[in-house]
Amino acid sequence: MLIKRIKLFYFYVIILEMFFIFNAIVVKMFLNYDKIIFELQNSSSIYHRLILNNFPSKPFLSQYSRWFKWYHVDTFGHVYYYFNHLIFLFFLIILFLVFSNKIDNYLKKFIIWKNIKENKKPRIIIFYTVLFLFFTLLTKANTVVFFGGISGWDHSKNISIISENSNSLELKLIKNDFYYKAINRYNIQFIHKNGYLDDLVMFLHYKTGQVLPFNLGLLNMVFPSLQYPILFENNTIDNETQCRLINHLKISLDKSAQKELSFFNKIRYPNHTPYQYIDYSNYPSSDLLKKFSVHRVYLKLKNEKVEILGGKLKQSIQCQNITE
Amino acid sequence: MSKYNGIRFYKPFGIGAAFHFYLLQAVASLYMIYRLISRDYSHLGLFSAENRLFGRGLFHELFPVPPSYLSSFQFIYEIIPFPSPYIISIFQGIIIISAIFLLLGLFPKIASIVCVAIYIHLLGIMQSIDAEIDGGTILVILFLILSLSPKDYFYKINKFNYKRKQLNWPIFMLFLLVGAFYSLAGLNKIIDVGFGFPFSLDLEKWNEYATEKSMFLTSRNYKPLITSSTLFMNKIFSDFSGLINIITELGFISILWLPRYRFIIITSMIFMHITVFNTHAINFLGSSFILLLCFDWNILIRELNLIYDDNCGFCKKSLKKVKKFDFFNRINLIPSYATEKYPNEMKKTRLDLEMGAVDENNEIFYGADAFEQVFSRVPLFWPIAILMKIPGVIYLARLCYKTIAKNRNKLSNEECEV
Repeated sequence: MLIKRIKLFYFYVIILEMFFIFNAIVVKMFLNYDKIIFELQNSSSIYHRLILNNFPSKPFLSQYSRWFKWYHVDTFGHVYYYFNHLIFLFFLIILFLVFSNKIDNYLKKFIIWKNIKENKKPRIIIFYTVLFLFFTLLTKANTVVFFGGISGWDHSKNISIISENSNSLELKLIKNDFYYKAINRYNIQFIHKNGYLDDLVMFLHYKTGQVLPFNLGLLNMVFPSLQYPILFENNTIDNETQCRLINHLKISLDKSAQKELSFFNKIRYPNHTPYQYIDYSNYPSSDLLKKFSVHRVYLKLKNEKVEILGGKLKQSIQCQNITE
Repeated sequence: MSKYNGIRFYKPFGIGAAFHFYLLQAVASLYMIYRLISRDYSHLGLFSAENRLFGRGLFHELFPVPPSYLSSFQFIYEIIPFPSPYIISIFQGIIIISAIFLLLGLFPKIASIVCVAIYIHLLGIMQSIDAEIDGGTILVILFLILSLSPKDYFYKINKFNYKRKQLNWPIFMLFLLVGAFYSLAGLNKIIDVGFGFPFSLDLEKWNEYATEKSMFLTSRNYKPLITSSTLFMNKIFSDFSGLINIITELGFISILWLPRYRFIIITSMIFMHITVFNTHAINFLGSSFILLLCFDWNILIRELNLIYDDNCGFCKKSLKKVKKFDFFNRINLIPSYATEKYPNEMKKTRLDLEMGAVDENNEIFYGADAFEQVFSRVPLFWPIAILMKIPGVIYLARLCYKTIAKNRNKLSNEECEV
C-alpha cells in the first residue's frame, strides 16, 4: 500500500513539475511577446515561420497569465535550465517505467527496514530524509533546509574584455581626476596584453567635495544588483529605491569604518561573494554623503602600464530627502 | 563478521564511540559562531515585505508559492511587520548565544533546536531579499542532524566521555545528506551542461576575464596572482580539474560505502572550494570544516587487534617499532598462536602468510589493508595512510606487501621456523 502511495506521490510530483516548467515558458512567452514576434518575423528559417503561424495570440496569453503568472520574471536566462530539467524528468519517467519492478522491490525492502521496531525513530528519520531527497531532486525546490544542489555552468562563452581597438575617441570622454582612485593599478602586472579595457565604477560624493570609490561589497549582500540594479547601464531605479540604497550605504559605511579598526576584521569569515578590498575608515562621516555616481571608465593598457583615457557618467543616484 | 574488500557500507545502527558526534557538536557550533560574528545581516531589515523577491528568475519562480516562503515561515510577515535591522540583529545574537551554549555543552539539544529554527528563518529572510542563503546549506544540515539526535548523545559541561558507545546514525545522516548535496550538484552539471562538462568548463577563459576585471575596484575579489598563473590559464589543467571535479562530485555519495576513497573525494571538494574562492570570489570555504567531518574520525578511538605470525622475527621486529609510536595505545599485538584471542573466521593458514587485523567493528583486514588500518591509527604514520588512500596505491601496496612477506625470512636476522 505504502509502495503504491510513494510511487503515486512521485508520479504526481513529476507531472506537476512538468506543468510548472511548461507554465513558466508560456508566461515568459507573454512577458516577451513583442520581442519574440519581432525576432520570428525577421527570421527566414522555415521552423521559425511555422512557430510564428502557430504562436498563441497575445490576448490569449494575457488571459492565461492572469491566472498562472506567479513569481515569473521576463528574463529568459533560466529557460535553458528549465528545458534541461524537463528532459531529465522525461528520462526519469522512462526509468521508472522500465525498472518499475526493481523499484518496487527496493521500496519494499526499504519499507520493511523502516518498520523494524528496534531504533524506530532514527529509521523513520532516515526513511523520510531519503524520500525528501528524491523530492528535492525532482523539483529542485529550495526549502532553505536543503536544495537540489548548485546549478551547472561552464565558461565556454567567456571572452577577454580587452579589445585591440577602442571607440573611446568617438565617445567624447570626460577626464575626471577621481577616476584613478577606482583603478587597481597593482593588478596591471598580471595582464600581459595590450589594448583597451572598460568597466563600470562607482563613486561616493560628499558635501566636502571629496569623491571616493566604493563597490557593492559595502552592502554586505550576495546579489546586491537584484535589489539595486545600478550596475546595469539601461536600468533606472525609482526614488524610493534610491533613498533606501543611500540609507543602506550610509549605515554600511559607518559599520565598515568601525570594523576596520577591530583586529577581528583581519580574521573574519569573508562574505559569500567578496569584493575587492577598499579601506573606508578614512572616508568622511556618512552624514556628509550627498550622492553616488556610476561611470564607465576607459583604460589603455600598454606594456604593463595603464593609462586612463576618461569616462562617461552613467547614473547619478541621490535621495531627494538628502539636502545639499 | 565481514571481510574487507574495499566496499564497506557505513552502518547507521553500528555502534561507535561518541567522539565523532562530539566533533560534530563542536565544529557545528564553532563554525556557526565564527560565521555569524563575522557577518552582519542587519541590512536585511532595511527592506520591507514588498521588496521580497524569493529568487525570482531562478528555479523558485516555477512554484505558485516559493518553497522557502513556507519552510522558513516567511508567511508570518503577512500578519506581523517585517523585522527591522534591530530585530535581525537580535535573531543573529540568539543564534550566536545558542551556538555558544551548544559548544559549552549547556542544554545542547535545546540550544541546537533554537539555533537551527532561528537560523532557518533568518536564511529564509535572506533568500527572500537576496535570492541566496550565502553558502550555509550544509551548516543547516549539520544543525538539523544535531537537533534530531538524542539528548544523551551530546557532550555536556559536566559529562564528557568520548569513548561512550552510541549508535552511528547521526554520522550516517551527515554522510547521506552532505553526500547527496554534492552528488546533486554533480548531477546538475551533467543535466545543465552535458557530459562534456569537463571539456567545456574552460576555466582558462574565466581566469583571463577575472584577471582583466580585477583592474577595477568594483569587481569581485578575484586573485589575479592565481587567475593569471600559467597553471590556471592552461586548458589542459581546466579539463583535468573539470574531470576530477565531476567524478568526485557525482561520486560524493559513495563516502557511504567506499571508505578508502573518502580522502580523495573530500580533499578534492576542499580544493574546489579554495579554487572557487580565489578565482570566482564565491566563498564556500567554511563548508570545508563540515567536509572534514565526513572522515571516519572514530578510527582514532577504535582499537585494532593485530594478529601476526609469531614465528617471524622480521614481523615481530617491525611491529614492535610501529607499536613504539602508538602513543594512544590503539593497537593490540596478538601472536597467531593465541587462536582464542581472534575470531574463528580468521584462518591460521592465511595468518601464516599475511598479517591480519580485526577492529572494534569486527571488520577483518589482511596484509597491506591491515597495515593501512595500523597507519590510520598512529598519527606519525598518517602520511603513509593518506598515500594508501590515493586510488590505485593500495594495489601497489598489496604487491609490495606480498613481495616482502615472501622474503621475510631473508629479511629477518633470526631463523624463521615457518
